[in-house]
Amino acid sequence: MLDRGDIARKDRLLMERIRRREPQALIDVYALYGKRVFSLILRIVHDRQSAEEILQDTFLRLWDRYEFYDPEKGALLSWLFRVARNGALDFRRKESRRGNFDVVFIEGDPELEDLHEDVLSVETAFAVRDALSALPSAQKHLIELAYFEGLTHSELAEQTGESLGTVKSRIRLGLKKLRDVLGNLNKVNLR
Amino acid sequence: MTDKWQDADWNLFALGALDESTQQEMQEHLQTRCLACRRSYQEAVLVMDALAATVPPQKPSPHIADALLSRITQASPLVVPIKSKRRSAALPWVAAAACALLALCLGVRLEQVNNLLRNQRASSAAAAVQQPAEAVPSPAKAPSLVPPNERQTSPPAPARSNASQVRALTAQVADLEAQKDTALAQLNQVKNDLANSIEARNSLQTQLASAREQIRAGATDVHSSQAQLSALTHRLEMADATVAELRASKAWNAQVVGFLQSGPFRQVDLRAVDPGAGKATAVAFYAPDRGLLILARALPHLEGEKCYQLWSIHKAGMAIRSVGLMKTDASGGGFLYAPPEQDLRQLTALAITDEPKGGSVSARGHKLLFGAFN
Repeated sequence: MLDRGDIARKDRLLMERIRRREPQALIDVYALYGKRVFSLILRIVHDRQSAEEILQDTFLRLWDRYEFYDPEKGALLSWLFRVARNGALDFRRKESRRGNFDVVFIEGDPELEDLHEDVLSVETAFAVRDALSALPSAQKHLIELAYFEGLTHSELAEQTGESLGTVKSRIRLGLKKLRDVLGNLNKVNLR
Repeated sequence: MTDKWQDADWNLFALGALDESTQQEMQEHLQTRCLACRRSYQEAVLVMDALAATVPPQKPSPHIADALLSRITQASPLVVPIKSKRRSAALPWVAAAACALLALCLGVRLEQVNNLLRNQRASSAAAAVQQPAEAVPSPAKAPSLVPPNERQTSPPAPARSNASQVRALTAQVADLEAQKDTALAQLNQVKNDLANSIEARNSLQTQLASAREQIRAGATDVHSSQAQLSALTHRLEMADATVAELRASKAWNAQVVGFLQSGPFRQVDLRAVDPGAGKATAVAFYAPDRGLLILARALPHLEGEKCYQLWSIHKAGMAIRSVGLMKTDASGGGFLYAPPEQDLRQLTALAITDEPKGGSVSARGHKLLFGAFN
């Protein structure tokens, strides 16, 4: 398992190669982070073909716009997560407007449970997953709707029938608990 | 960080759960390089990354890496996944229009043929029960595929040829029906292509908007950097001034410390004796062989062209003499040092007054602070 410093160094070297326009560097980044990014996209769009297109767009964006990634602001995986999530949520909104969106529960691939080993502490991933599961269902539900379905607090209030203040408060509390878990672990492998 | 941002919820911002205007405002604030808010935001991003990490792992198709490589090296794609959204946007529009026109023409033509067929069938039925001469259909009642000018000169068709004409027309109808179906299928295909093209165009528009936003953000960054540079320059100048002030102050402090450490002295506290003195106080140290040192604090800021002046009061004849003008700073601190050469014999008291700028020969202003040696 890599520590934060190793990941930062690896990111820096990969980005240096991308700046030099080495195509293999992008493939190396993909090999390192592609599965994690794909898992997130698929969780949001629920369609493999669309998820794979968004996955390609995400990595092509890194290739075309590498200068927009600032290592001072966070890890490369963090940046890829944000780009991928935005792309997936955009896709989802368009599909919803066309009425083409069905929610399908996606099971994990048991053969990939060791996926975190290169880029994320297994301990961290499982601790956060456990912490998320342990949240009161209302808090967990709101956080998942906001993160994976891209709903704003106003939309969440409308959907759940709760007041805006209650929605905000529940999300804050839930995220604070997750943050506390991260703080306690004190060795998150994502900067 | 200003008060406004102290309560900003960077968790909700990182989650993207705020309304658009707030999200935008916070985004712009982050670009001001407010370190405290950036730190809060980065902590929130950690939580978001952790949320992403809770997703059950999935494996993409193995061809994706090859497809990426093909696309960045501009070779032909090895795999399918690029949808028709990357086609030229104009082609489907032209094709759709052509197919629609074709379908329309075929539909009209088909309708004409059907009418003709119905009329021919009616004529055949009539011919079967009437005399041959009466069986000739009227051109006005039975439309013909033959052009009107030819119709004028051609002899009327005999009734018995109607059956073969009906068969020919039926075959023509079937052929036209088939052409119509083909055209409609093409039209549907083109409609699908059109929908995909519209989607691609919308996607490109979104990307364009995003690019413009990034350019705008870049411009904002440049502007922000210039403003920061200007602010930093100003702060540097201020810092230079402060350093100079502190150096002077250090020299003065060394003198004060030296004075205070060099032996016994008389001390007197000066207290406010006029409301104009506010909360000002002062303390004076005097030793005949080392002179007089007075330190004041919380002296009110003097409006207009005025200054503070120290006066010494002597036992002999209660003479009042000017010791000098107090040097003051922005915080109301003031001091004055009178060397031993100055005649301070039989000193009994000290007073501070406000006088016109440059001082007065004799005290005329308000007596603000006063202290007498025991």
